[in-house]
Amino acid sequence: MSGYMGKILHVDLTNKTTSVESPSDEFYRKHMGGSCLNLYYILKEMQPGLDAFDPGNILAISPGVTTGFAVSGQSRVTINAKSPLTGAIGDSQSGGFWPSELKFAGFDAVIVKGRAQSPVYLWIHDGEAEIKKADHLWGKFTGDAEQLIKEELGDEKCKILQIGPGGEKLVRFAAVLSMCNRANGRTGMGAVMGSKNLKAVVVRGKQRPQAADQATVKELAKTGGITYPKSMVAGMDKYGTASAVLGMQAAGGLPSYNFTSGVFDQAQNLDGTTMAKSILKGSDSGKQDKLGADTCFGCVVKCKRVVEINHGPHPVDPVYGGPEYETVATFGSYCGIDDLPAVAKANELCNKYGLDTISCGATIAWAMETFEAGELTPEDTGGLDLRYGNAEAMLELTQLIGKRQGFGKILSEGSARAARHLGKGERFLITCKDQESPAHMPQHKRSMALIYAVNPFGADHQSSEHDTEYEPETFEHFSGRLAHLGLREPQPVDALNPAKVAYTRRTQQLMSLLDSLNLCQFVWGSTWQLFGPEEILSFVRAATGWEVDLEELLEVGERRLNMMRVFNAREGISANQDRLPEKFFNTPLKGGISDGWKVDKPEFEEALHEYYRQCGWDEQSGVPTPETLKRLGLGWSL
Amino acid sequence: MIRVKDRHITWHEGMTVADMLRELGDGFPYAAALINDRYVCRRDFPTALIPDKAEIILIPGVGGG
Repeated sequence: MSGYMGKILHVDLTNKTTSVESPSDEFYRKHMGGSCLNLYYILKEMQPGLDAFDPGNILAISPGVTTGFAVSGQSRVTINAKSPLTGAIGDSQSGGFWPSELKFAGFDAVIVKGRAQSPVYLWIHDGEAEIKKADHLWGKFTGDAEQLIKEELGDEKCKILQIGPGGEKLVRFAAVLSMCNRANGRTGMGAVMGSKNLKAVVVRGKQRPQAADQATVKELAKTGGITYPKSMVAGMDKYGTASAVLGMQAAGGLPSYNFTSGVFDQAQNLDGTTMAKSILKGSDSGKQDKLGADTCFGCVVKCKRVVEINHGPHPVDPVYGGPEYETVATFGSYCGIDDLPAVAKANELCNKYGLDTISCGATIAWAMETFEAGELTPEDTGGLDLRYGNAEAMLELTQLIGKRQGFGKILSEGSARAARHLGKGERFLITCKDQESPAHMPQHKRSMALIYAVNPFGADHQSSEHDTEYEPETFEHFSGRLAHLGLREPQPVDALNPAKVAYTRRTQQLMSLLDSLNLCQFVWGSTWQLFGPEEILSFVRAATGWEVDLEELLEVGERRLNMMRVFNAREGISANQDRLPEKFFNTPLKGGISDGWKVDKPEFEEALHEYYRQCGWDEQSGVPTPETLKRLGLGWSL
Repeated sequence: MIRVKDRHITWHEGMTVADMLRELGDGFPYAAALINDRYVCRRDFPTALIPDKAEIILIPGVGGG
């Protein structure tokens, strides 16, 4: 037994019981961890057609077989359940120290069903699990609950995965937080935890996963540190992911004014370089490189931000970290706001209440566009002036969403439900499967049009490589790694032809593998990251001792995607919901170099069918065929 | 002398961002550059001039975040 701990914890909150399963080596090799492993239990144990808040919804939490070895970008965890936002499968990843610590506590996954009668938390330590009362923690902000749990357990070093008041109150895009600043943000997994009266999962242990080839694992750890300063990700430690703001602006792909434009004139005020100089912890004394960056277990990249603001109208507590690129965009350029301290405050509020910053900021941006169009009025908004650029209104609304009060209660359902409830603003939606689009524009990077539509859990930017890495002018740099995926035909960034579909599908399989192994895409992706496909293969072999090849690994990624499609088909979701918002087709972008850009509908429709064909799915319904499922060892799911 | 990615590169009159990237030689397809506090996007790399003693930050086109 190498790589994995050999134990899966099952928790039944209704009956207050726990049990431990020890799956076979074959099971681990077939699923690896993360969503692929989680989906196995969800498909096997959950009845089709249940509401996401039904106690029968299965909440599955797992890292992967490579988690817990001190190599960069390996400490991540995936949470899956039926999503209350999309009605489809929910899926969300985050990093930090919790994922490794779960394995140190002796477990590879936690599978939760049922609903506790009153609030509880799970305390998992040294191979044991307890269900503990959490009435005293309910209603607390994440930072306060974290401190109380540590005091109660007498362990400063325990790692806590928890929900905030947003999840307790069933905000449909509620997040799950660890360290108060790492969010499993997307698809409302926090609300599912809230519906189960499960406040937190706390882990601690002294066990360690054993590697089959420790020397290779050590070599990978060493290589990461040596390679990083010479890599293209060098600088992430100084400027974080928000340094992407100016790159996106340069390309005309920075979503602004609710995806009305691809440029934001004040973009530089929001960029990671500005953040480093102005609001990162230590920036007032020139020590931001040391104090303003944070990292995950074993990782040299240090892309996480720590913001501290002690003066002015928007003080920010460093406990809650700092905004990523997506957060800067959704609360910034989406809303026409260039006030970086206000954006950092919105990030803090989301991490306190436990909200997905993408859906929260994008939902507010949708409300702003609808307000600007005169369809929403102050009577609808409780007097809030929701014109673009109003940072104070944005912050007030974020809190109202977290509390599910006033107009915030309507927006806590997400923008698509809010539009349907109000009968207003549907033409301004930027949702796919009712999930708000992240900050990468299909009008700019055309494969995003396809991936946002077909992704089983709604619009997502980390489910495939982006077009800019397959352009003729950049391809030479990436060609070596992409050749491992059989990708040798670079295409223009705005092409959506069969070759681009193949690029999308093939890199989607790789990302899907990464979300099963729970390897970070910033470190292990196929293009400019620290490691590439060859190193993934080395790492899996060294950790587990399995003589796998890259095709077998990619098949794990493909298996995960097919399991998700099977889940969705059971819920009545297939090609009928592989749609893009009409706005992306019928409203050309305004201003800057992307002026006039839009997605061509016939081209998109053709790409959709080409994608189904390449996946081995029914061309009309988008559902995996029996032959494809059998090929992937999923005949049991038919 | 100019500074980029913790390296010092000899400056010359008329030096553009494209010239600097050739000198740097890492071959990465950056999306933008900050020259002191001035922002230059990739399409302007061939013509954007760099002043002597400039501090330069190179920005990749991040896919995630």
